[in-house]
Amino acid sequence: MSDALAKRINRGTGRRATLRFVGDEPFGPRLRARSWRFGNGLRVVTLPDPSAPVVSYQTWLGVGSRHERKGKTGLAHFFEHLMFGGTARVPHGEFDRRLEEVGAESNAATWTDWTCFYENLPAHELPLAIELEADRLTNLVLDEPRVESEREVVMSERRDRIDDDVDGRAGEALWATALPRHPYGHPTLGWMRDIRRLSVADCEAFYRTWYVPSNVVLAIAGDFDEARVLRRIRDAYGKLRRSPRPTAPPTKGPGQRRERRKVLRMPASSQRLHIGYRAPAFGDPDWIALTVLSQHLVGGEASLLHEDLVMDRELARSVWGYLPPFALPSLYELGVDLRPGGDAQVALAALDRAIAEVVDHGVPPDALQRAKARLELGLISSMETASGKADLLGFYATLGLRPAGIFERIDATAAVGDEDLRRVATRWLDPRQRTVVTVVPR
Amino acid sequence: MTRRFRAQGLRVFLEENHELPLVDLVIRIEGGSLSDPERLAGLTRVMGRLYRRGTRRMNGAAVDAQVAALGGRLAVTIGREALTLHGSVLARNVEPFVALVAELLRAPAFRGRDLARAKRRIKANLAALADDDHGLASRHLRGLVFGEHPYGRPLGGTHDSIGRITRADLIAHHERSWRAAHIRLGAAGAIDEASLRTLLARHFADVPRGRYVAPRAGAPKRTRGRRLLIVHKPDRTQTQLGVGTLGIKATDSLYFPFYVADTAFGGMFSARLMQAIRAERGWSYSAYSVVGAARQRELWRMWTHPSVERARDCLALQLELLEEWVEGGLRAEEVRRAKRYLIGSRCFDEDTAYRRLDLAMSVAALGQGKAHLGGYRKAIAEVDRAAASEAVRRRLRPWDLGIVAVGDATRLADALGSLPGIVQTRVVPFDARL
Repeated sequence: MSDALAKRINRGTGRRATLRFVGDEPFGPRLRARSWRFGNGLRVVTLPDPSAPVVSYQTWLGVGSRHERKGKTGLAHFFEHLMFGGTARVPHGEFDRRLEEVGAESNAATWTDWTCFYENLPAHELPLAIELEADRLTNLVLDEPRVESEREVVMSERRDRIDDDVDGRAGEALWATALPRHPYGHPTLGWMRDIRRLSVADCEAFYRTWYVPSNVVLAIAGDFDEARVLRRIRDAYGKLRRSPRPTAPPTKGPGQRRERRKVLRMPASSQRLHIGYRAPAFGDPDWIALTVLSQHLVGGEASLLHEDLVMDRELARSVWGYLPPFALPSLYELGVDLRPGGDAQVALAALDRAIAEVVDHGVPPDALQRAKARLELGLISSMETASGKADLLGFYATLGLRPAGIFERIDATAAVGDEDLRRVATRWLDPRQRTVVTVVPR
Repeated sequence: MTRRFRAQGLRVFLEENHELPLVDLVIRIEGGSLSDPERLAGLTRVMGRLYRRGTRRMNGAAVDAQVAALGGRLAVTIGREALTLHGSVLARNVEPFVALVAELLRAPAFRGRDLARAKRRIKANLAALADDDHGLASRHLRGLVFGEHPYGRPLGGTHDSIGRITRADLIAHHERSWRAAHIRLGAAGAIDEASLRTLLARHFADVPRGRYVAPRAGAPKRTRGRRLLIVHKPDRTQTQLGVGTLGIKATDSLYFPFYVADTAFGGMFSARLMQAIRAERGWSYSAYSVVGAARQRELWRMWTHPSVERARDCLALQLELLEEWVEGGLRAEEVRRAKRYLIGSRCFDEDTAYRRLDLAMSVAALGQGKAHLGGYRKAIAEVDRAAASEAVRRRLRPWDLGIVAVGDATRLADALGSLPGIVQTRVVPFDARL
């Protein structure tokens, strides 16, 4: 049926606009996600879901801060801001105005591996998002006044999220210390000195290289007519020229043989601990087991270190852990926010003991079951809204994975056993391969 | 459509939806921090924390373990007018989850050692506020605008008031609060009415029925002049700037025109404030205004965070924009755009079962009536330029403001204190004991 639909849409169209049905797969018990590709390389993933009269239209680009060059850090994020400027057809300010006039939520996000622009709209307003996104993908106007004005905004964002924020600064120092020559080592917001120097020419070159159809995935979830929407996309994007899919220079793995430490002295109410262990890429089977282990260690109020450091010994206000879903191997980040008077080294020793306990004796069955149940709840909750579903489709497809890959992850999470946790604890939570940043109040 | 019925003396809301195997459970107990005795500010917050710390039958660690084992989440939030417990759980475990939540509320242990621990944790969190510039500014702004009125009281109390709370206070507060007459219970997701009624009959049958009228605040009074408070924090690269004054009651007849006007001023990216501060000048990443909804006039505020060098210019411009807005009104085009935005985006308040439930329960709790549910789009559509401008002119006083700046006072005090209408400038250290 989907092949037939592609044929119908292709009647009378040129080569660039030719639509090919790539495949479909179940997205839960009720829905199906379908993948498509146009002749110019543009990929589309559709998930019709009439459960609410809304739709999420997302444009995912396979470019993020890891694709930046030295001296040009922050460019991917900076450029994301510039995309809200004007085009020849849509003057500056009109993009937001036109979307807000129909009640749309519109914004964007940039991270290490990707940039995502989204519009969540009342279902019948979807054509407007298609028109505006297709336009700014090729017709953006880049000039000095726009770049200068947006530079100020980006610098303000950086001051807010990093320079004046204790955890923002500690996190930035952690990644830079752990991965000094790796593209994940610099902040996605960029170093301030680089943000100050980004030029119109830098932005133009970036736009020409990365904002091309072959580097784009459109993810659409919600209440829409698939045939009608694919025709509109063909009309809006089909004329865009095909160009080779850009690639990042090869990256050397983040090797580390001994522990690195850094102390930051700054105004703060108490000590903080940020720890980064070498971590697998999102596509690595160990990623899932390590996520379960993280739940056991620091996930929620029943976790081992929350009970020990926050509840029993009252050394910390909170503990947390995060394994980022990055395309390349990166860092598993753990943090302890200590109470006034609490000693970060005591917290670090508690973490070491907890990890040694897992390596030596494993995780009790009831604790393992709790960790998995919490993750299951989180994964299912992420699919409550149309934008949540489109997020998943776009993210998985951009990383080259099956768009409905979330369901494989749910099954794989359920299958994780004690031996998996011991294995990943031994392999990845090696103190020789970690970096420790301690914040000491000044 | 949210179903409503009474069961076990409770007002029950149900938004059934079987799209995902999830159930949300919301229990809203009227009272909130307004019911804290004056000397014991933070009592409701401590009580909320101790609801999670166990019952006569199980301790806090056992509760945490059971919530997690069921694939659940449980959060207690304290508002000025209610304590709300919100749980989410995998649908297959809804029965034991409801049983657990009911037990936590029906038979809290309030153990002395848990109370002592909760008090220490809350005090540690108060100390951490010194690291959060926006949080610091928000807390001080509320105090500056409301003064001694209960809306000015910090939800979580102070070091001193938390220190005074005893187990006897908690037991008495719980006995006053846990009354069917002022509890709203909501469920959303994969649960039908018959199942919910069965669960309520099984686990909520013994909620005391006696009447207790939760305290309500009187009308807050306006303080005259523009009062500036600088929270001195050296080494800041930027200044958190909060500007606030009394806003509007949730049941005010001018609510919809005011809401439209505020949206046009600072509630959208294309709004006047955002355009002037961020889009045209790039001075602050955030620039917005927002009005709270409560039974009395809540805080209206606008927020930016310019660099230290731009703080004066930015605040001066914000004040000018505020005066222009209140005294000069809005352009027809701005009102038209705000209305279209509010009407169009309403679908995002209603696109999941939980959001529909939350909306229905909030509207009921605020006593706002049907115009805020099914009649919302019509009510917004009926607002015109004159009504929107008039609502702002009648409710906002641009010369009676609280202004809080978190940053380096040595660079800010003179620069900000000399702006028009400032009648008082005070400086407090960022790490003062709260």
